[in-house]
Parts: sequence; C-alpha cells; structure tokens
Amino acid sequence: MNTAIASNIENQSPIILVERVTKSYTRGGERILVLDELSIEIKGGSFIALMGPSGSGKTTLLNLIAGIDRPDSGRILVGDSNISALSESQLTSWRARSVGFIFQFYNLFPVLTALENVALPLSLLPMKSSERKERAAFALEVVGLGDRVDHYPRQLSGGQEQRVAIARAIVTDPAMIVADEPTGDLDRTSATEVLSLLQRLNKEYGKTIIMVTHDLVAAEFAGHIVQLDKGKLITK
Amino acid sequence: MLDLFRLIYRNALRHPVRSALTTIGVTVALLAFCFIHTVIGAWMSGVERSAKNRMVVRNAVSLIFYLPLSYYDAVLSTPGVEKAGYGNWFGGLFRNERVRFQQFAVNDAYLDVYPELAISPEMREKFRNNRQAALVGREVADKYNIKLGERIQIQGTIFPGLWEFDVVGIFPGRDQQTDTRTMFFRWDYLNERNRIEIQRQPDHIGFFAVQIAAGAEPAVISKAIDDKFANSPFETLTETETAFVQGFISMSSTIITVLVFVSYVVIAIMLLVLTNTMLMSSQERLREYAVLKSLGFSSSRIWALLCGEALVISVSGFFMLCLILAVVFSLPPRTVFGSLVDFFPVFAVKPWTVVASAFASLVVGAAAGGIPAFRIARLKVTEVLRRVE
Repeated sequence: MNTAIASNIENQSPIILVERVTKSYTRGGERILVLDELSIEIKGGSFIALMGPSGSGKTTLLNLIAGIDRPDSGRILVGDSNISALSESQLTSWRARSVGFIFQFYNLFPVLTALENVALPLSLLPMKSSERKERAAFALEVVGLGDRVDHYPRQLSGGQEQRVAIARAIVTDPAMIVADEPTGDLDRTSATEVLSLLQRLNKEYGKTIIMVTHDLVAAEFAGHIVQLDKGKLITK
Repeated sequence: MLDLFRLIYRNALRHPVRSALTTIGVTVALLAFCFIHTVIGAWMSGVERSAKNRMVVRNAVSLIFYLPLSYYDAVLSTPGVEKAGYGNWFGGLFRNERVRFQQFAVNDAYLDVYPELAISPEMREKFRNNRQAALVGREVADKYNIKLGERIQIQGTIFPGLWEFDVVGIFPGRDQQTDTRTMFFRWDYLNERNRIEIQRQPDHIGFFAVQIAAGAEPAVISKAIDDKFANSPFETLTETETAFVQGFISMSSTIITVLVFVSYVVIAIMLLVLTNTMLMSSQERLREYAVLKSLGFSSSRIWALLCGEALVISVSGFFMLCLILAVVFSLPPRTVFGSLVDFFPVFAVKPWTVVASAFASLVVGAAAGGIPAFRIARLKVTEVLRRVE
C-alpha cells in the first residue's frame, strides 16, 4: 500500500499539459470569457498553487484539469490521456482512477464514519471489502487519524474533517490531487496542519498537487505559484 | 457494493420522521390498493365458485318472471341433463323485519344439484318428512343464533304473510369457499299457501338448476332446452351457472371499473408522495451527489443510490402492509370487517393481490428514485459545487 501511494515519486515528466484552452460561461444571455487560450505545463510530482483574484479563472482551470468540466476549445493532456476528448463515461471512470479531490468545505458524508467516507471511492474499484477497509485505514493513518476511524464527521474538528477528505483523495492512489481552497474554512493552526500534510504527500509520496488558494501563506507551502488574472497566466 | 448499500440505508434513515411518514403513506396506499382488489375479488368470487357442470334455466324475458312447473319433466328429460331441481327466491324478513338473508323454496331434488352443501342424509330425511322443514346454512345459524329444532318465523315480502318453519338441519359447507348464508325450505309448502292465500302464479317456479353429465356440451344442452320452449308464452334462457352469476355481476361492472381505476389512482398518489420525498432529499443533498460525481460515480450509480433509497422506503411500506394483513386476517373476520362479511362470504386477500402490491412498491420505488436521478444526471458538477459553496 505504501509503495502504491508512492508510485509516482521522482517522475519529472509533464503529466499535465493544458494547450490553448478557452472556457466561457453564459450568464443572463451574456458570454463571460473565463479562460482565454491559456496554456500551462505541470510536471509530475510538483505542488502548484493557483492564485489570483476572484473571477480570474483559477477554479475553472482546476475543474478542467480534474475533468469535471470541459473546455470550449484547446486540449488537456493528463499523462497519456487527452481528457478533453473522452466521453462522459470515460471521463467519469478516469476521474475515479486518476484524480483525488479536496474541497474547501470537506464534503464528507455525514451518515458515514471516517473510515467509510475514505473507503467510498474504493467502491468503484474491483477489490474485496477487507482490502478496501485496510486501504482506507492506512490512508487515515497517513493523515494522522488512525484513531478516528469510527468517528462521524460531526464528531471531528474542521481540520480533522479536512484530513479525512485528504485521506479520501489519496486512497485510490491517484497521480494527481486537486484542492480547491483546502484551508479556506480552517483556522491558522488547522490550516498549517493540512498544508503540511499536502506538502508531505507531495514530497514523500510524489503526488502531483494543484491547489487553488487566495492565501499567500498557504501558497508558500507549494513548490510553485501560478498567478492568473482575467483568464490569462501572469506568472509560472 | 456493500458501501453503497450502507449509504443507501443510512440515507433512507437520515430524516427518520420524514421517512417514517412516507413509509406510512406507502403502506396506507398499498392497503387501499389491497382492500379495493379484495373487495373486487370477493365480488367476483361467485363466478369463481360457480360450478362448471351446472346450468340455470330461467325465463328468457327476465329473472323476475316465472316458468311453469310443467317444464320440469321436459328439462329433466333433455339429453345430457343428469339432475335437475327447481326453486323460488323467497326474499323474507327475519325477526321483526329487520334481518334479511337469502331464502329459497326448493324441491328435494334441488339439493342434489348442490353437493357442496354438506347436507346429511338425516337432514334430508327430516326435510322430506316435514312440510314446514327448513335447512339453515351454518353462517346464518351462527349469526342469528338459530338452533336446531327451533321454530322460526319469516315475514314474506314477495309472498306476503307470516311463514313458520321448523329448523331440521344446520348445514356447513364442503369447504371454506362454500357460501352457507342461505336457508332452504320446501317448495310445495310455498306453492300450497300461494295457491290458497296469495295466488301469485301458483305452480310456477323461479328457475331450474340443472346438473349436466360429465363431458356434455353446455351450449348444446342450452340450445336443446331453449328450443323445447321456443315460441311458447314462457320462453327460457338456459346458461351456465358461471354466465348466470356473471350476469348479476355485469350489472355492477361500472362500479368495478371505477374501483379498479381508483386503485391505480391510489398507486399514482403513492408514486407522487414518494417522488416528492425523494426530490426533497436529493435537493438537500445536491452537493453530495456532485461530490460523488467528482469522485467518479457514474450517473447509473447515482441512479442506483436514489432508487435504492426510494426502494428501502417503498419496500418497507410493503412489509408493513404484510404485517398489517397478517394481523387483520388472524382476527375473526366480523371483528375487523363488521357487516361487510355479510355481503362478501369470501373476503380474503388473494396471493395475486399481495404480489401486485409488491410489484407496485418496486415499480413506484424505482420510478420515484429515477426522477431525481435523471435530474441530477443532467446537472453539471461545477455548477452544483459553485452554487452550494
């Protein structure tokens, strides 16, 4: 299990290639351009912080890379997959295998225990129940919550909930983790714990992490900071 | 898969009061469905119980018109006719004109045509020997506390006057399906008083009951009997007992059609109630379904989650129904259904009705989950996450 999670370490080839991607939304009959022919290359095993003012397109870019949204034009390559060309069902199954999600508000299922929440993505993969439990328990160990397996989300602090969400994100051993404002709802101490954990996952387990944040302190935990403004890349 | 079942089960119990109320709603709807179909089944039970080898000969114009007794020999001698008897509907009122049960004035041979009535040779002997003898069905005797040997009085309506009978036998049915809500007395007693006091077509009978020989063709016998009396003042209509009973039921076919329609309306209401619950639940959990889609759950899995949850509720409703039916039918029918049992001698839920209820609960569960699932499948994950966060 430990080896599996660490499988992408030392891989410095570009695993994410965003090429001339344009994305717009229509609101109230008006077309709003969110990303304007944006291109970016993210190497495997890197930890990127996407920053920028509200409406700059950072969450949209994250969603496109994670395969939960589609570009109007351009293409996105993740590893060998051109995810912008995949069908909806292919994309769904690709996400199950390749992407770990961390949300600002944790988005845990209140009716499931920490262990069950973490094991949930594993129900999409062909494996025995005992193996699922084992892997989920290990993921909780990794995030330092080995003693909270039977706790429900309401019995955990915000920081602990986010760590459970991180365990859920890594349990399928995805090459890439996307995090949208993962510390936005946490106090400074809990935020530091969570960011340190992400840093550890990146350094020790070689996970490629793309994190959207407004917080400069949080961004400093990442290896690279990418600034966006009005749908264009400012720095990389 | 086990994790999904767990999630389905726990989601279903997330709002216990709402789920309980919806389950009760489903149970009530299924109960109404079962009750309506049981009433229809009881209504139709006469058709099911009717003997295939029995025919009824009546006046071709209407059942209210009589036939001459002199037809009896001609009916009996028709090829294929094995046994025949005759009778008149009496329609009297028992005990101060408050109680009505069916009474027939019949000849002795009539009782041979109905072997499902367990009338012993001793009872028959007493029936033959006493002009005022009456044979009372077990259900009538039990209900009105009529004892063997008792002299009872019945107020005639079609044949006015106070009629006295000696109860010489209380007969049970051959099986539970046999209707024993009848009293038989001697036709010659009726005819004698009719001839002297009332003069309502004496020496005429209401109908002949005919038992046909094994292998005989009812249509051929029917034609043979009716042809004998064609162009006479009293033409006959001979039909199988099934057709005869169906003729009665067809008078109320519109009511039955309305009842069937209402039963399906009840199921439709059940679908709306459950769909409403599922729509409320799914709306509250929109973000969770968006997260599931992000994690790689396909639309079909989300459909399974929602349908599973709706099925937990609808199938729980079905199990509650089974429990209620088991309790209700373990009690004496009169305790639960009161005077309804007087109208329907066979009032039991048929296996078909239970199977149809189970099927309805499955279909409603699947449909009620399918509607919100279809809605969620069309939602964009990014829009949902943006909206709720």
